[in-house]
Amino acid sequence: MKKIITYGTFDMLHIGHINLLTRAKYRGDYLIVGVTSDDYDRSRGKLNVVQSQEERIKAVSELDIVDEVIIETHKNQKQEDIKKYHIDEFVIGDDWDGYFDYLKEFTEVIYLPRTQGISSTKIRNESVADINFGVVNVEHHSKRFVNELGFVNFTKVTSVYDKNIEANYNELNLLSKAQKFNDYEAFLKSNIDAVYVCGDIASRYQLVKKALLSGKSVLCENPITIRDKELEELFEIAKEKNLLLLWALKTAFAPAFNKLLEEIKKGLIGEIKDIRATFTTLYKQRGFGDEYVKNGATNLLMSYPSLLVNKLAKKHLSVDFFDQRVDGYDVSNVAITRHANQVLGIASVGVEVKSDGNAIISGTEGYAYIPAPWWLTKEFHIRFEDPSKEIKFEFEFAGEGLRYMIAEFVSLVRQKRIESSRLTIDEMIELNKIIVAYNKRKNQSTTNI
Amino acid sequence: MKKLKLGIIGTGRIAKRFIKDAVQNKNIEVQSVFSRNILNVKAFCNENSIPCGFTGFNDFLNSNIDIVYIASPHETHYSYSKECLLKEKHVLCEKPLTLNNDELKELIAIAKEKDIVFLEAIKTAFMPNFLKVLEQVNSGIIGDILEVRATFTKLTTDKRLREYDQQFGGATNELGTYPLLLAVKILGEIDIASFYPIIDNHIDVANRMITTHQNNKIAISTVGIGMKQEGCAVISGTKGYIYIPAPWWLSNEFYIRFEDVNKEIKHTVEHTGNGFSYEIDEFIHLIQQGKKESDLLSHKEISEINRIISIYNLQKQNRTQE
Repeated sequence: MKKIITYGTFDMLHIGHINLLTRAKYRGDYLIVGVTSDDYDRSRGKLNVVQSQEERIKAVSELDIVDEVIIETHKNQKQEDIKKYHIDEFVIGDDWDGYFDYLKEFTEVIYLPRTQGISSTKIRNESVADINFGVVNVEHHSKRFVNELGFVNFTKVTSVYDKNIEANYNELNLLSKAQKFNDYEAFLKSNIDAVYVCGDIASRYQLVKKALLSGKSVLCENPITIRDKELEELFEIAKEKNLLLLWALKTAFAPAFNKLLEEIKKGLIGEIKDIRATFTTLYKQRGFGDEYVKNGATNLLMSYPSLLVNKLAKKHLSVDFFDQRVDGYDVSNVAITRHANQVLGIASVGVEVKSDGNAIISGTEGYAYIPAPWWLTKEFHIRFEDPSKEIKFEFEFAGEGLRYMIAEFVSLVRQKRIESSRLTIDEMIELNKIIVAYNKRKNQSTTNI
Repeated sequence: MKKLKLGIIGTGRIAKRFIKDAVQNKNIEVQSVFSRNILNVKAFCNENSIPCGFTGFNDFLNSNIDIVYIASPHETHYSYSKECLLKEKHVLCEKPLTLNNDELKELIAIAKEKDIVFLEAIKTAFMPNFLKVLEQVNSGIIGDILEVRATFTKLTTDKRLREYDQQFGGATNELGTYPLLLAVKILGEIDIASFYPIIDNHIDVANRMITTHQNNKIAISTVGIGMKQEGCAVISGTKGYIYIPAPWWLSNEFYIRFEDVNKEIKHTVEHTGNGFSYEIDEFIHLIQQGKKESDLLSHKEISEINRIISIYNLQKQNRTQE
């Protein structure tokens, strides 16, 4: 039996795809199709994919000519698959002519002519409507957001709200002109599909709530709120209105971070016992104002290390805080959380203290070490008592990493989905509980907790 | 100057490594060794060309020795130290000195009364790289120190070893002294200690000791025999931090880092042998100078480290009784 393999994203499956697959199939007896995972596409900078991984796999699986569908998740997988499935021929469209010649070492490589005049890119350009964003407040975060939004296809900023819109609008450096608003109600009524919220933390809850009530999906900067019960209420509204509310914790959407979680869950380091992550930044040195820094290390940063802890240890049973304060706000804090099976989380943050921003996941047989800055995961090491057994993983990571989050948000909005599998509603509520618990305790006692 | 005659108590793993560095010291003559087990005594004497070996403790004490190195099981440190000090032998004793802080206070009092050197064998405290770290901390280059963290794990799978002794074993007793040394050296006295152990079959296979110091400064000291972790140390300040790579307690380098990653400074300070020579030199130096305690590791510091380990042992006892 002659086995053929081919790969692709197969976004918005079209006649060109089917022609190529048919020709591939009739070169042999059995056709395997590798469909790229969302993470893999994003990690190699392909941010214009419209359909989700599940939708793309489903469409390819339903074709009679396809015998087997596999998921392509990493860079060197093709040669692994060729060996694993005893492939006789690797087939790909001739737009890749020459690119895969390195696989000739393992199998026959055939480049087939593509159907003229049709491609996913063309179909997307003709049929996919842009997601129009409204940006709320002009500041450091929204500038960064706008910059990264440029990397995600089929999106644009069409409206901007700010109390001082005339003075601040130009700082955003938008590629195309947007409508300016200093009236939030009017802004929400403008031609927008989704809203990005940043600015003063205390005001975000109201801004998000109004946006949801006006039928807009919301991406909100970290943290959405620091007060009790507000986040739960916002999710209730979002669910009722069938809208997406996503917390802009960029790490959760980084392909390498998700790969890390996947590898750890395979059990390489034995049973997980201790998860620790540190995020400190000297905001004042970076030009942030006193007002921003006075939000405190916990409110500004805790959700990042808590995210890693929560992803691997799930819900916490108890939390202790070890904070240090200057002028009433926390310049540093360590949240120690206990979880089932004696697992401990140590989440450390600081705004006027500098520490090594690494993360370490310790197990009964070894540990994973993610060098600083771990929240922009680019590489990690699995280490054991015997140092020669170290395994190193490296990944591509582009820009500030926001583009992966924006790509996820846009993809979900397009599919009218109200929850991300990379940062679920339950996870966001759990992360928020840590922040709320700290703020409650801080207000109860002005001395040590 | 007359050579000091050394007697060694214990023939285990650490004594075997210690003696390799001890025989290199020109001021020492290894005179005798003591262990309850005659086979161990014979083997140790033969391997290291030691003239006398004993299984009787009084015979050992009377074997014309001036100084003693104690590397026997933890629970025997107190009684051996006490007898040696009462006999006016200078004592260098392995960590933890005792498992009960009152016992340590008694030993320190005896040493003072008898005018004898009593030193804990925490080799890191005397090593040049570590001293350079402390010097850099004190220089203010990383600002005020707000947090210190250090980890020492050694996966030990053989449950028959003394590390798994239900009464005296566990990661805290075995390894706790090292990270606590860094905490106490940099942040000083401890206000509150919180423990987050992992218990497996009544043994703390790992422990996270969070200590708060003056002005709520904190230290996170992690140890493990059933959990593996990066053995690095990080000292965090208001202007930057010091990173000592694994194994930090034996490292010959460290990094000073700032918000601007380009400003990193690397220090390299080499050491010789297994690292024991520095503690031996300090021990001999104190005896020769007629000093009672070390500037590098004072009785107060020794006692503070020991107090935390003692508190943990007390909590462990209470838990067992429940």
